[in-house]
Amino acid sequence: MSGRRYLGSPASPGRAAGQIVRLDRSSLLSERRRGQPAEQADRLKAAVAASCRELVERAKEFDPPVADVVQVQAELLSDPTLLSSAIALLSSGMNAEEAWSEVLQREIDYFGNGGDEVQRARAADFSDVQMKVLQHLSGKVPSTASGPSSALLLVDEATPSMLYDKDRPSFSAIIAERGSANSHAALLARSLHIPMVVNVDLAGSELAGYACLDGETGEVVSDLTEAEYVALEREIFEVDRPDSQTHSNVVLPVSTIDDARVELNVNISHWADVARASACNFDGVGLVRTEFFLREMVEMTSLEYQREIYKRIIEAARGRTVTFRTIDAGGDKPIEGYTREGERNPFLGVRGIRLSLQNTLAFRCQIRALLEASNLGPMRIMLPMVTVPSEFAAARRIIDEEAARISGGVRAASIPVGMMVEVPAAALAIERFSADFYSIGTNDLMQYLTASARDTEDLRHLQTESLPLLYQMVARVAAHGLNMGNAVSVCGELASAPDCTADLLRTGIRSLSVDLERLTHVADAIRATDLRVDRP
Amino acid sequence: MEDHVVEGRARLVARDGLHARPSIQVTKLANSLPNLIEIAISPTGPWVDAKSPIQLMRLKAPQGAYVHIRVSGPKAAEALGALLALFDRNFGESSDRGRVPA
Repeated sequence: MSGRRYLGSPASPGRAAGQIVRLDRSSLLSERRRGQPAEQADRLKAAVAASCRELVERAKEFDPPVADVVQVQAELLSDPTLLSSAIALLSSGMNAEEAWSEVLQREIDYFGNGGDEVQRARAADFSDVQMKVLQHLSGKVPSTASGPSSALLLVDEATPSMLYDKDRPSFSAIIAERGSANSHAALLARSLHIPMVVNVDLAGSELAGYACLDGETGEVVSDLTEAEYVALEREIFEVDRPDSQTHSNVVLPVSTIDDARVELNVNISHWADVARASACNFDGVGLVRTEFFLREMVEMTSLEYQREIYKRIIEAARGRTVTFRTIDAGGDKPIEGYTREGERNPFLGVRGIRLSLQNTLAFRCQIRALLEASNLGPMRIMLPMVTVPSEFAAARRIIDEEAARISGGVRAASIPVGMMVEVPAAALAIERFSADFYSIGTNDLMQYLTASARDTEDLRHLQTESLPLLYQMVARVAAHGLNMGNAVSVCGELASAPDCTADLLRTGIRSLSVDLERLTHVADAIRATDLRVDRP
Repeated sequence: MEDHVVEGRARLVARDGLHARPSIQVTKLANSLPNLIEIAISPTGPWVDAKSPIQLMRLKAPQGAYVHIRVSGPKAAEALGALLALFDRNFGESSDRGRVPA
C-alpha cells in the first residue's frame, strides 16, 4: 500500500477507510452580533436554556455510559456561575458570543493545562458546552466540507458532542491530533463502535484525500489511491463484520399493547450500517440511501461497482426485503460533476428524481445494477422527491425499459416501484400516483410544509407547532395506502424518535424505518403504546 | 430551630478524586438543601460554593485528599450529615473505578 504513514495512540478499536473531512468549529466563534447588554443577556439566557433542554433530551436517547456523559455536560451547562460570569462581562461591551466564549475558555484553559488526564478530559467537556451554546446563539451547526458517511473525521481534539450530536456530520471514524484514550470522547467512540485514533502528529502537514486507520494499533495511512481505498473498504467490511451487537437485538414481531403489529425496518446509510445490519433483527430494510455509497460520477456510472454494493447490502439483509432509494443528490448532498453548481436555492432546485430524469445515464446505470442484483434477494425500488404523477410515470418507464433489456427481465419486472412522499404536492394528491408503495420522508416534508430549514434553530418552533399538520398528511397517505392495499411506511427522522412513535401509529401508520442505533428505543416505544387510548 | 455553622471533613476514596460525577452528586444534594454549603480542600480555605459543580471540580481534589465541608443555616448538622454520608458511600461507586469513568 502506498501513502504516508502516521502513528497515533489507539483510542477506540476497529478499522475504517474513507475520505478525510476536517471539522471546522471556528466559524461559530467569528459571529458578531451587537446589541445592548440587556438584549445580549436575554439572548444568552435563552441559548443556555435551549442548550440545556437539548442535552437533557439527547441523554434520554442513549444508554449509559453515553447518556451519563451527556448528562454531565448538561449539569455543567446549568451551573449558574457560568451564566452569571458571562453576563457580568456583557457590561464591558462584549456581545453574548464573546462573553460566553471567554468564560468557557477560562475553564478550558484551567482544566486543559497541567493536571492529569482526567482533568484534561474535562477541558473537552467545557469545549462542547462552549460550542453548544454558540450553536444555539447563531442557529447554525459547525460546518464541514460536505462529506460522505464513510468519511474519516479529522479534528484537533475529539469532544463528546462530535459523537452524540443529532446534527453531527456523518463519518465512520475519527482521527484526532491531540487527546487521550481516557477522554469522554474515546469512551463514547468505544460505546458507539466508532474507531478512533488520537495524538496523531501531522508534523505541520494536512491530511487529505483517502486514508485509513486502525483503532487497535493507532496507525493512520493517508494519500491512498482510489483503488486502494475501495479494496480496503471491502476488506474491512468483510473481515471486521461485528458479531451480534448488544444494542440491536430486538425480539420480533413488535406489537402495541393492544396487539397492533408494527413492521420495524431499518435505514442503511453507510458501510458501518451494512456491517451492523448483518447482526441485527429487523423486519426489512426500509431505506437504503444509495447516494451515500456513490460519491463520484465514476461510481455513479460504474455498473460493476454498484452491483457489488447492492449485493453486499442484500446479503446483509439475509432474505429480508431491501428498499433501495435511487440517488437523492442535490439539496445538501452535492455530487461533483452530477449536481448543478451555483443553484441559488438547492433545496428547491434540481435534486432527487428531478436530477435523475435529467441525467438518465446515471439513473439507468443504477436501475440496471439494481435489477441485476435483484436475483440475490427480495428488493423494492423507491424514487425520491417525486412531486407530480408524470415524474413517477417517466421514471417507471425507464425502469421498465431497463428491465426488458436484461435477461431474466420477467422477474425484474415484478419488482415493486414506490415513491418517497416528501413534497406536500405529492402528499395532497397521493391518489393520483400509481406507485406500488409509499414511504414518507418526514424531514423534507416538514421543511417544505413550513418553508423552514431544519437546522435553523430560531425557526424550530414553526416545525414544532406544525407537527399536527404533518401528522394529518401522514394520516392521509396511510389511509390511501390502506384503501389500495399499498404499503405505507415512514422513514424520516420522526420514525426514529421514540417520543413520536405513539403519535405516528395513531395516524394509521404500521410500518417504520429507523436508524439502526434507535431500533431498540423505537421497539420499546411501540410496545409501550396503547392505541385504544386516545392520548396518554 | 438550630441556625449556626457546622464543619466536618471526609476523605475522598474515588480513584479520580472529586471528578465530574461526584461533583455533580454533591451539587444535586446541596441544591436540595436550603443551607449555604461551602467546600475546601484545606481547613483554611479557600471555600467554594457546593451548589456549583464547576467550582467543586476546580478544586482538583485528588484521591486520598480530605474535603472540608462548612454548612450554615437551618438544620445545618443534619445537612452536614447527609453530605458526609454521600462521601462515605463514595458517591455510590466502587472504591476502584465506577462503571462510568470520569
